[in-house]
Formats: sequence, structure tokens, C-alpha cells
Amino acid sequence: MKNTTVGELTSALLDGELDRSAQQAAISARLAAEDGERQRFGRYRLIGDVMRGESAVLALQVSARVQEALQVEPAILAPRRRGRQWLRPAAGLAVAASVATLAIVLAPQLLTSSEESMQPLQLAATNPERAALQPSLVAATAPADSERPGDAGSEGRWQVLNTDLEERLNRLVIEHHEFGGRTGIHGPVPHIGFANYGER
Amino acid sequence: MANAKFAAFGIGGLLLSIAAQAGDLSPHELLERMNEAVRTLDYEGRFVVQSGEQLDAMYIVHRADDGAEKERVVALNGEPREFIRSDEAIACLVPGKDQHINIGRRANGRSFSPLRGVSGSQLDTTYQVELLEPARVAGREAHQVLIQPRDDLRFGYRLYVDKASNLPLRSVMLDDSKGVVSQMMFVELRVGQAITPIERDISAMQMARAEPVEGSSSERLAPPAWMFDDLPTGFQLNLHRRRSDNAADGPLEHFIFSDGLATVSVYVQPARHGGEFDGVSQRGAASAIGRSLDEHEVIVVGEVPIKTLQMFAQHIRAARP
Repeated sequence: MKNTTVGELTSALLDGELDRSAQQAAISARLAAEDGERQRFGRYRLIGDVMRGESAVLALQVSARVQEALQVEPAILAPRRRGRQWLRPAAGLAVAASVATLAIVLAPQLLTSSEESMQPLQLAATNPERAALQPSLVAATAPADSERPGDAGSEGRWQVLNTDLEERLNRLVIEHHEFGGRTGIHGPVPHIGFANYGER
Repeated sequence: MANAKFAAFGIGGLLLSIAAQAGDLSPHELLERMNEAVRTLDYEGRFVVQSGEQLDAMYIVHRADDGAEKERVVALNGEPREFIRSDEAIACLVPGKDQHINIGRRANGRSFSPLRGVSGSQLDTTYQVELLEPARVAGREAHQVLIQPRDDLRFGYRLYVDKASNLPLRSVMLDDSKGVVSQMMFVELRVGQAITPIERDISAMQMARAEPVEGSSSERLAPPAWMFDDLPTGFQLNLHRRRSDNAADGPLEHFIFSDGLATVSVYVQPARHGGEFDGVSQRGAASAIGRSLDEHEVIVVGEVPIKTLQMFAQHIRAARP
């Protein structure tokens, strides 16, 4: 089987166009045998996931091999620095964060979003060995010592009582600025002109 | 008396001199040019942002290639983070955490400026805009514009606009007692040539999926389900949008009001029966107010005094009986 055919097959499989049970064994054997195909698998899966926007989530970590493959893939260049992880849009974030220069200010909080929404994927993420074994993507995890909202005296945080509400307010402010426009009145980057985040 | 006349003549002469230095540019024209410059010019520099007691330093590079904006902003202190954006997508990197967050495509696909279409006379109903003596910021000569609200429903601004490029070199938001609410200031700025390319980062945004159209045409074109009995002076509805029932965060109606400079958003969502926002909160210069109304949650946000947000929150009601 030529490489191109395997690539098409891998792509078709991941798009659900093939009988999975009939093809998976062959694909798996090929992936186990050939480094290039493993990389291709991870790459296609990543592309498919992202393009279909299936993720309800969060943060996804690309395996080292996939990340290396992304670095040489001209169509979907990944950041060149090693070790960065890709995060897919959070459920609400995909909509709300549709915009957002404010993201740079909110990023630390967005990356440690509510425990409730993170929970299903934390299981994978909290086990580094398991994470390393994932063929492609697993969730990132929130640091255990992450600052909780409502901490007194935190200049860059909403004065609200729970993480979920704080996150919602962040999203709404991002939307507010996306649709509210950019006039220069707050400087070149509208959201940064008024908000910041708490030191962690 | 002679001294008073002399003083008056001197002040008049000074104002004429300021106008002449501004090239007979009205402050309204200067604001329009600034509005245009931040979106259309190539520039690169470092600036500081102060909000409350917090001070941040940022690096920005902005390019406008064939009318398409590309921008990269890097935080220079605190937790490492940067974001990149274009007309279509935004991504945020947190390299220090070995994470990259892709936050999707911009919903409207382009900059939307409330200043556009706002006439000087409209602006004059709520603000007094005047040119002051030129100043020097980031080693560059700047026009100084003072924008004072005519009431206590909005903040004022002191702007320093680069004479050469019309970019805002410094922007200070002021409360009604002239206290600083927040401010940004360039400490270094280059405009036009030899701007650092940002294409490497923009490639990351190719990973962003296209944002689905928000709801069906009928949904989006349906009249608002909510209306406002009264609005704070000078505010007009700039935008109404509706998020589909199918959206991840659930249905939502979003109203954006502007007085030409300040903007206020009013969000209305079905009540969650637990976890609703009821009260007041602030973050930097932004404030938010939440309340419950007819089995819905109303949240009002904006960079205006809280009393202004309260007026919006108090005067909203269901449009249908």
C-alpha cells in the first residue's frame, strides 16, 4: 500500500467514512509499524477535530510526535517552540471568545476554567504517563494552586463568588469589546486598556 | 482691566496657536483619524497599562496588509502570554505554561467602530472635546485632547495623539473627580517601515474553525424580545444580536449602546435557576450589574460608572405582553 493511499485511508477513517471495525486493525498495525503514519494519524485527527469543532472543550495537548509533525506541515503550522500545547476552544469560549484582545489579559483564567467543565478531561490530564500515551490529544489541567475568584484585594479579578460566574463575566466582556468596537480611545488594544489579571 | 484684556488676548492667542499647530484640525477630526489609524497603519512598540494599582507592560505589532488587520500583543511582565489576531481569527499563546489556546474566529469578522457615523454634534451632546497644548510622549510630538463628559454618566478621557501618525500614544480614562480610572501609554513606537512580520503566528490561527452562523435567518432577524423604557442621556442602540438556542452557552440577546465613545452591553439570557449573577462587580475599569427579570438573567457591562449600568438594568422590560 502506498503511503498516499494509507494517508487517504487514515483521513477517511477519521472522517467516519469507512467501516471502522473493518479497517482499524490494519490502520493500527500500520501506525505501530511506521513512525510517519503515526504522525500522519495524529495530524489528521487534530485537523479533523479542529475543523469539525467537535470539542466541547478546553485544552488539548498534542503529543510530541504530532507536534513535531505539525512543525513541518506547511498548511497547519504549529508554534515552532517545542513543548507548547494546543488548546481547543472551550465550549462557551468558541462563541464568546470569538473575539478578544482581552484574551491576553484573561488567558491565565481561561486556561484554568471552572472545575466543573474541566472535570471530564482532568482524569487524563492528571496522569502524565497516560497523557504521554495518548495517540494525539488530551486535556490540559488546571494548576492545583490556581487562584480562586473572590480573593480579596485581587485587582484583576471580578469581585464575584464563584469561578463559573467569573468566567461568564469574562466572556461577556470579551463579547462586549468584540462587538463594541475599536476606536483607539483606550489605546491601540481596547480591552487591555481597562482590564488586567491578578498576579498568580 | 488692561491686565485682564491682555490675559484674555494671551489665552485667545494661545488657543489660536494650538489650532494652528494642529493644522486647523478639529478635535473631532483628530478622533476620527485616530480611530482610522489604529486599524489601518503598520506599527510596533511597547506600552504600559495601568488599572487600579496594577501596572502591565505590553509589546504590540500591528500590520494592515491590503486592508486586513494582523496583530500580535505580548505581555512583558507577569505570566507570559501573547495573542495574535486578524480580521478572521484570534489565538492566544501562554508559552510559559506550555499551552496554546485557540479561541476561535471573530464573530463579526471585522472591526466595528462606534465612532464611525457619530457626528461631532452627537458627540458634543454628551462630551466637551477640546484640544490642549501639545505634549511629548514616547519621544514623539503629540496633540493633546481632553474629552470631558457633560454629566456623571460616563468617564472622561485625556488623549495624546501622535502628530505624525494619529496613533494614540497615551490614553487616560478619568472619573468625575478627574481621578485616573485606567491608562495606557506607549514608551516606544515605530510606525510604517521595518515592522516585524507576524505571519508565523497568524499561521496558528488557521487552526481556528469557522464560527457557525448564529442561528437561522428568522432567529437573527426576529425583533428583540426586550425593550428599554428609557436610556441614559446620549446613549443609542448600536447593535442588537441574538445567539441561537443551539449555542453552547445557550440563547442570548445582546444589546450594545454607545454614546460615541463609551459602550454598554446588555445581555439577557433565560434564568439558570442557580448561579445567576445578582449584584454589582468590577474588574479594572469595567463594571457589571446582574439582576433577575421575568425568569431571565440580565447582565449589563461597560466601562462607565455603575449608576449608568443601573439605569440600563432598571429600564429593561419584556417587549411582548
